[in-house]
Amino acid sequence: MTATNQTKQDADFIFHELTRSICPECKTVIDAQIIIRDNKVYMRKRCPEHGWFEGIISSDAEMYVGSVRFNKPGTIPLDFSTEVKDGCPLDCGLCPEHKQHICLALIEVNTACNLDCPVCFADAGIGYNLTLEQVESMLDRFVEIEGDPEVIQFSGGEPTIHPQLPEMIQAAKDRGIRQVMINTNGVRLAHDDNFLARMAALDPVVYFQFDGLREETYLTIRGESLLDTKILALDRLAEKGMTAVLVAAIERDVNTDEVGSIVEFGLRHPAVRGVVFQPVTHVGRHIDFDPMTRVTIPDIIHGIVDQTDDRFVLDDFVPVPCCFPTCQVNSYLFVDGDTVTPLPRLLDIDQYLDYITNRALPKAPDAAAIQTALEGLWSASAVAGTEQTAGQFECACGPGLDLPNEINHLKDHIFQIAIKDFLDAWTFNVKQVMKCCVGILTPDGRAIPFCAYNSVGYREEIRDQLTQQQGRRQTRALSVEGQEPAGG
Amino acid sequence: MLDTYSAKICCADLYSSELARLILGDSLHPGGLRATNRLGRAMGLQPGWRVLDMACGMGTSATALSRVFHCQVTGLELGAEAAATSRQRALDQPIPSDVAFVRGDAEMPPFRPGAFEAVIIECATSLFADKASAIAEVHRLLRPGGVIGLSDVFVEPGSLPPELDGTVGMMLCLTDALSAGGYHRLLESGGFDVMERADLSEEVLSLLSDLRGKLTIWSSLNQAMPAAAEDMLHTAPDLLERVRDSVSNGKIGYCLYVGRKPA
Repeated sequence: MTATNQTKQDADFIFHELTRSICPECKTVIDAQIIIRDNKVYMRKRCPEHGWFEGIISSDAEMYVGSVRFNKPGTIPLDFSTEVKDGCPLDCGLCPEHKQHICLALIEVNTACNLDCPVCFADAGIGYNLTLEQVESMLDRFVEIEGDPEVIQFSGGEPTIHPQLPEMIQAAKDRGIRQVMINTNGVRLAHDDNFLARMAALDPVVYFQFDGLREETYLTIRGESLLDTKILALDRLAEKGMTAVLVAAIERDVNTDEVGSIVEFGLRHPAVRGVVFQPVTHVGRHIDFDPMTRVTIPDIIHGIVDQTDDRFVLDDFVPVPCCFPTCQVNSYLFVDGDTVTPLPRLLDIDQYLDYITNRALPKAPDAAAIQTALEGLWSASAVAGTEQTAGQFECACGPGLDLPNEINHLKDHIFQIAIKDFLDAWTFNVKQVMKCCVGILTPDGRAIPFCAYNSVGYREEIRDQLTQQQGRRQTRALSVEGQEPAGG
Repeated sequence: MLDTYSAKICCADLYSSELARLILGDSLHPGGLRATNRLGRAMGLQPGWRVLDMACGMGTSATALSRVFHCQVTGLELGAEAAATSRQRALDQPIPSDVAFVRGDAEMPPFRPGAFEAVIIECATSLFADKASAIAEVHRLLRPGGVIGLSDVFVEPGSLPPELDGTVGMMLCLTDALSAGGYHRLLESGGFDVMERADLSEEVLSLLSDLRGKLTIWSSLNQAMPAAAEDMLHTAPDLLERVRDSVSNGKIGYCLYVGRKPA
């Protein structure tokens, strides 16, 4: 018998943990390993039917692992809408096993859109229009489960083409919901004076799709030249004194090099009080991508730091504790003319938002108040450009911040940057979904965690159901109309 | 009589002042429209009901209630400026509401007996000089079976810090507030069956922390601020802490009551 070389080999990865995910092909819930290789984090999983899948979930393992200590205890909602039956993520929602309440709720008021983008997680197109009555009852349910609801965002489709959007915004305000937002591509705001005037009177915060400052970016992501329309719409919002938050979908080899210029543009534009970066989620419609090189949160942080001329350092971006802390990072800037001061430079945020390694709050007399204010800012419910956010900023770092006398409106000087990595079937992690605090409200009274809604099949199920319902309503209306001449 | 009346007008104008709005928000009471909606739900407001909002301030609640519950709401307000502003604000809103505003005294409301299915009094009972007669008026204005919804600050006897026994206290509905049991007795002796009581003191805690944030902003902005706010700055935040303690101990708080006029 001859001896062969029996030297054992090390694996080229660190096994970090085991979680659950879904098969990108058939959506079946399967086990998933989180592994670390070359300081990057990957999800590796096997579907008995469709085999192995691997994709990147964070390009900076240190950041990913370090974020865990920013995990805050969840808050239990007043009521649940489903029972635990098949286990997460098949019982949404929320079921009694969910670990967090809803900070930010979305209502998709329609499925139609006035654009036809190659990239659209909602797969906008033919489908349904919610009625005002449906939306009112969804808002009532939201109040019922939350008691003191923080943020509602009207989305779609494209909500600005829904004829009753103004009534819906008013209905949310009338119910005392603290912040009301509309999520729009801006096309109607750019071209319709009457609509703009109505929006100005209602004054929602405008969550404004804005992917970059290059025409090619829009051609790739949106399928047409839109830059002039975008800038026109923002200028018109500024004229009306309205507040916008830029929302940029970031895709590899398309606009990763534009994150810095988007921040700089936002800082200079009078209507803009914040930027939200979202790596493109590969659900609904998306362009071809490689799961091993998709954009993750650290790519965007590094991009901002590298592309903005020493304005930022990596530590200016802090994980958000209300959701699972690998889902989102935030930063806040105090802007006075050309001077931009990130809040994490004024205050050791870690000391207040680290819930695990350092349980003792700093000895500052106002420590508890500062922690509460920071929790307000580092939350999915923080809305840029509002009095509430300004108050929290002030309360958090008032003593360390020397405010000039001429500042009348603090909220106009606070700028928010958020980076939010929504999950798709390649990155789907049940651990994150279980503590998700962004929920899509449905007319049957559920609040379904955003990423579960998009990835697991809820979107398709609810869209079919609502489209059929609407079809039946219209058929009834037509037959009633048809009978009228005969009866009269 | 004249003195009481001018005191009332002064109080009503004070209430509609810029400072009150800064502290309390447009709704001019703790909890804003959230608390208003909660009151409306507790009262079981039904579409088409005629609802009176006594001492309606800027009309924010009246307008919202008319749209949320699909009621016909009348707002009654003594402050001349507030009454005019509410009317204009309702007209300026892009979404129509079924609301009318009348200037008048809540203790002598200019309406027919049985004119309403429901009457709400938010954070105003504590301001009425003659609370019993105001509640008697509500009883008269309601049809048999009609509901009264009352939300207000309560202060248990002897719990009010002396610094708050002035303008600021009045602004926060504290000076002349009843105890929680006091509102209960007020409704019962006014001929109402008390149907529901809820403690909304959480709203006062959140109001206090907002107020604290606003005071910090004013002080660091170093700007000309309303005189009453300047007074407050000297005593805050120590005072706010003491009020917070009293709220946590249940000595000061915010409560709602729903009563029914027997059919």
